[in-house]
Parts: sequence; C-alpha cells; structure tokens
Amino acid sequence: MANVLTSVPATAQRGQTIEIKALIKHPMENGLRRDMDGKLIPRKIINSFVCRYNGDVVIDCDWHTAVAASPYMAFFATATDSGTIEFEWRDDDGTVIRHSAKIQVT
Amino acid sequence: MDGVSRRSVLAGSVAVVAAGPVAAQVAAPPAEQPQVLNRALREAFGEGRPKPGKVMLKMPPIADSGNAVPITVVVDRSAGEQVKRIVVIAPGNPYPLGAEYRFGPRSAKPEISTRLRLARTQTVVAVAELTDGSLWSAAADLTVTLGACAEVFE
Repeated sequence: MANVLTSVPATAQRGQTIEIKALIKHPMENGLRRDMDGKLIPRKIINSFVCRYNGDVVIDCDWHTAVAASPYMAFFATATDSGTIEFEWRDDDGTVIRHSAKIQVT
Repeated sequence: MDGVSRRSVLAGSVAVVAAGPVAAQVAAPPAEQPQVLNRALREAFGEGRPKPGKVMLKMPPIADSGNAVPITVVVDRSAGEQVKRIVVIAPGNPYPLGAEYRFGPRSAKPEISTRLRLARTQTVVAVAELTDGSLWSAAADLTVTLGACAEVFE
C-alpha cells in the first residue's frame, strides 16, 4: 500500500475537530480515452471511498469520472476516543485498498 | 446603391466572420448545461430541486487544465440542522454526476475538499441535502483554458 498517503493527527484533545486527509495514487481512467490504435481504454476508477473511526463512519463517498486522477480528500472528524481511523478505497475491478492510522485522544 | 460603400460592406463581413464562431464557442457550453444539470439532479435527488443558499463552493475561476481543479464545499447549517450528503455536479462533463459525500456519525462538520476533473468551461454545482430533506445549492463558474483562440476575444 505504498501508493497511499494519509494524514491523521497522532494526538488530539477529546472533543477536538481534527482534519483527515487521504490521497491514493490511481489513474482514474474514465473509459472515454483512446489508445494509440484508436481503441477505447476501459474504465478503471475508484468508485467508492469510506473512512471509519473505530468502526463508525466519518464519510462515505461515491466517486464518478469527474474525480481527478490520484484522488485526494480532506474532511473533518470529532476526536472522541483513542483508536484507529480506517480508510477503504474500492476499485472498479473489485480491488479493495485499505489503510489505517492510530490516534491518541487525551 | 451609393449608400452602401465598398468599405462598409467589407467592414460588416469582417464583423460577422469575427463574431460568428467566437460567440458560438463561448456561448455553446453553458447553453446546453441547464438540461444536463436537471437530468443529473433528477438522478441524484428525484423530483426535489435545491434552493440557492447555505452552501459555499470554493473553486478557482480559471484553470489552465481541467485535470485537477481543487474545490472545497462547506455547508453553513444553523443549530440543530444536520447535513446528510453533498453532491457535486459538473454539467459540462461527459458524465455530469461528479461525486457524492455522505456524512456519518463521526463527521465533525459538513466540509470536504477534493480535486475534480473538468472537461471544459462550465458552472459547477454543489447540492447539500439536510436530514430534514431540504436541498440547498451553490454554483461556481470555471473557465478552462483550452487554447489561445478562445481567450483573445473574452
């Protein structure tokens, strides 16, 4: 999972609003482009992204072809308890890419 | 036909040649976008139509390339209001429905930043659905720099 970059604060105060950022390297091939021989390049995008905080959803997204290559997302969660923030990307081809980060809440 | 001089005829034809294709180029994308936007809204929200307000859509007005245009959508809700989801629509794209963001119980505020791939000059629309079912929207214009010819006369 070397092609994933996430940003989660390592520590936070209880009740604090934290910014979470997630970036994944991906071509987001929209299925409209043609290769050198004039053949359509098949669509291959990440169509879903979910972020969970200790199992509860922070944000749940559907992505279509208007999302840029190497999709980037920034959003906000409330730091309530220490634990794990999980990221999950789903590719058109069925691949699921997972990543997680720890947060210490005091 | 003394009233029509050679000069005025020439000047007129130059004006037509200059104005014709340019006007078509600049006006064509937005003209067909309202219907596309309506179709996308129906796909996302059924018969509901958003009212302008509560939503802020931050996007640069000009992009050299539409490949990765940064946008931020913020919903300014009053106390007690909860945002269920935000939908971003790009009516100038081959597939206008851009993305949908649903906020879960752990979300702190209805704000997202991302990057869009935008095919051409267009008005991007962000719609927020609150938990009471009301729909609010904001729009922002983006000029995608395609080439020198489209820019000279603007």
